[in-house]
Amino acid sequence: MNKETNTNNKAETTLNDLDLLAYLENTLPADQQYLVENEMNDSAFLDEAMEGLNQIKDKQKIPLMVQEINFTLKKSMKKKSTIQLPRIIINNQLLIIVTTIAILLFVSIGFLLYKMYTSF
Amino acid sequence: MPDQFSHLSDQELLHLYYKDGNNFWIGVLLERYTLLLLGVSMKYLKDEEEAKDNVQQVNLKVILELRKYKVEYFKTWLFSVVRNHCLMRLRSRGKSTVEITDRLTGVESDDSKSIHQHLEKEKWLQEMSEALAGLQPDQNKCITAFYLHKKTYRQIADETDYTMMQVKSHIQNGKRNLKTLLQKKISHE
Repeated sequence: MNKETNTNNKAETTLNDLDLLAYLENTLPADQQYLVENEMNDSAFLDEAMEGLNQIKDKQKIPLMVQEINFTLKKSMKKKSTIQLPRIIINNQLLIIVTTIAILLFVSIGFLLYKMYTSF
Repeated sequence: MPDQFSHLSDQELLHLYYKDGNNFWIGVLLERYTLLLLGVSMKYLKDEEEAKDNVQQVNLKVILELRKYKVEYFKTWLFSVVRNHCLMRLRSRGKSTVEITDRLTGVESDDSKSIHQHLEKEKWLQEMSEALAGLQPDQNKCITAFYLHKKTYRQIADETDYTMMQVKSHIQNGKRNLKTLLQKKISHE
């Protein structure tokens, strides 16, 4: 809960989860309150989220709920840490190796054929 | 997940995922949005346990969908995923009375600033002040206090007879009306 979050592009904003929670609990200074509201006016995602979070009566529970969700997410990540993407995306290295071998083969065969023809 | 990746943008994390296929990167990305996902889920589902469960389902859905599609704008895409998932849940609950907002109908897009791009600044300010005058007085008052005087919802509510919800509503409706007025002006030129 202490990381910069929601508004994603780090350069665009300095809002983080703690700011948002402080806003919900009305403990944020006016200038920062204004920043949150300004961001809410520009982002439907944030606006709807704040509206929903406001419906949670015990605001102290929110960080725990977030932790719980993140814990479950980590568990499911561990189960399947790596997935199979299409080979085109994944294996650039393999492609380079195969291409190099193919070129070497062509050159070797070409050289052998040349030698065979010139020896007759 | 460690927050040591806070210097990376969403797009950079997505790029890392598409490069090596490691779900770890999606985990980092999703953790950034847990609070927002929970909030949106609460807004629609109105139940804490159901909202938590919904976020977990959305997380799984995101992991599966990202394998299939190449997503460019993660935040916008994620917002549509969570909202659609909530609506689907409500439908399956048989509760179809969902509040129809401009956002649901797609009138107002997230982070939309298209009008600004079409007008030069000076001209735009002129048009804006004319359009402001065309707003209803309560919308005009709230928009002016918020955008020009940089007052918070609470401060505006304290200075007027409106509640905070009314202030928010006047600002949002005023913004939408301003957009319409400006669009009309542009189309007349």
